[in-house]
Amino acid sequence: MLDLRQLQINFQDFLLEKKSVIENEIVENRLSIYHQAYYLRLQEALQQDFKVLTQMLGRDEFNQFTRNFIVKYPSHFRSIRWYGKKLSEFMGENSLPEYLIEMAEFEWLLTESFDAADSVTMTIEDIALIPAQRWSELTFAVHPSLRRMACHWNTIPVWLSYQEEDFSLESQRNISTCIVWRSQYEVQFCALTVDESYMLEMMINGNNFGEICAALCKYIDVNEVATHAAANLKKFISFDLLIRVDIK
Amino acid sequence: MVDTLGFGLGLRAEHYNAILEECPPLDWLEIITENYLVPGGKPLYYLDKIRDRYPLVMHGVSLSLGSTDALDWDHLKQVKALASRIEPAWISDHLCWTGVNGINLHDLLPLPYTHEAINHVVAQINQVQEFLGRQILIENVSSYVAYKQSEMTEWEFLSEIAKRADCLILLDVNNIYVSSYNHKLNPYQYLDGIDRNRVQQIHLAGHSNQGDYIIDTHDSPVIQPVWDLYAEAIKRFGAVSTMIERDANIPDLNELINELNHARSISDKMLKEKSVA
Ligand SMILES: [Fe+2]
Repeated sequence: MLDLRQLQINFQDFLLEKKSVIENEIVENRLSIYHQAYYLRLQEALQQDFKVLTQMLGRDEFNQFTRNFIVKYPSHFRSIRWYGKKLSEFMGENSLPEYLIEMAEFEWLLTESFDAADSVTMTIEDIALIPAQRWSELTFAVHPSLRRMACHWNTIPVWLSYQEEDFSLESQRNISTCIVWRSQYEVQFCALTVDESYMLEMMINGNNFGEICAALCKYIDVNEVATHAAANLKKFISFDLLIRVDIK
Repeated sequence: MVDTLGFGLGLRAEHYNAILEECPPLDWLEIITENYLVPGGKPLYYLDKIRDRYPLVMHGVSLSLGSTDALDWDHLKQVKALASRIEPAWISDHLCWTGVNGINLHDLLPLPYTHEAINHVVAQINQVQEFLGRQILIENVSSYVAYKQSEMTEWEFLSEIAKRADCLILLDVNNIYVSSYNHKLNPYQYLDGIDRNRVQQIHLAGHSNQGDYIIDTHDSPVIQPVWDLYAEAIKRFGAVSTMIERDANIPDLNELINELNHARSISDKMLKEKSVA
């Protein structure tokens, strides 16, 4: 008699399509039910997380592709919620078109942001109280749901047009920085301008407002840089991207 | 054992708003534990709001009590943290295994009904109960295969584990029906084999009959033979917290509440008959 561990290894190997002798251990052979359900369950979870990618590839091709993914990367997660984490990486390994990989990355960031940690956000009043001469010392903390992504394709417009069931917009090259975050429990996203993206990155890196203004001079005239940076800051606050301001 | 909570439903995201807006007549709700082991966002927001209004119980799908892998302590810590957040009336998981060598197959796989498996599962449940500081409930799963090496019936296996680990039972009446159908056993004999003093909760659900066998799909209403079996269960075990699981083709909340009211009326009737007798 096989011991319990060996029995489980054999059963699992059968599901993972490795060489297995589990059939010998079974009375009525309905193992195929478990086999089918295994792939179907994971494929359905991936379809949920990558809705637009599924449509772009077509369901049959998506299922074919994700089947290979499931064979190569069995889940090590307690919750099926995280299973799609490596899908875009696997697409890269299999040389799928870049614009599809980028869509997969974007859709995964939407899921990450959806249930990332909560935080109170800061308001315009929080900075209105700070005397002007101390602004240069301000540092900022961003919302834990914020994700950034360097886009090389028109991924957001394509994703949006699929929401409208308009499948005519073709993927095209378009360089931008996209951010995904949550505001009031709803996931948001947008593309940033070059200076906004640079400023946000400096904020995340802990640079203070003075350092940010100095650095932004490479994009903005020195006489306007402080006003411009303050406008960006207000925009970030109104987006609920920032949770705290500190004076160092 | 905790006193009966009455009649509940599985909490599904599709019903979050209806539950908060309509405050439907539900005695309690069961959550899938893993769906709320996330840092924040909507799932926990709704969970906290709903907890303010309804008693909750936690139902896990990945403790993998029967796996020969060591228990996942990181996962258990998260379960414990969620339990202290929402103070569930109880915590349950399945009498099954979900993978080995660190892999999760995301399915509730059957165990062989052997003394070796009993020893193993009892030791695992002991560790879990000690860590959580409370008794847990274990649920019988639907199965499609049986192992040649089994040394006893499923109900003997379940009862012996519950007794030796001193844990409680979440009796899934639909799963009893499904497994009995698939393995050509008598579901009423199954009920006979269960210690009434350990049955804390009952699950009801629909399934899909493929002719030769039944698959436990939770995608349709409870069928009459399962209602009949439920009536027998109440007759034997008395008033037990009962809920309906629906995981696919999820209908309006009201439709499920109507179905739950049917369970309520069957239970009332059986308890009345019992008290007269
Ligand atoms: Fe169940």
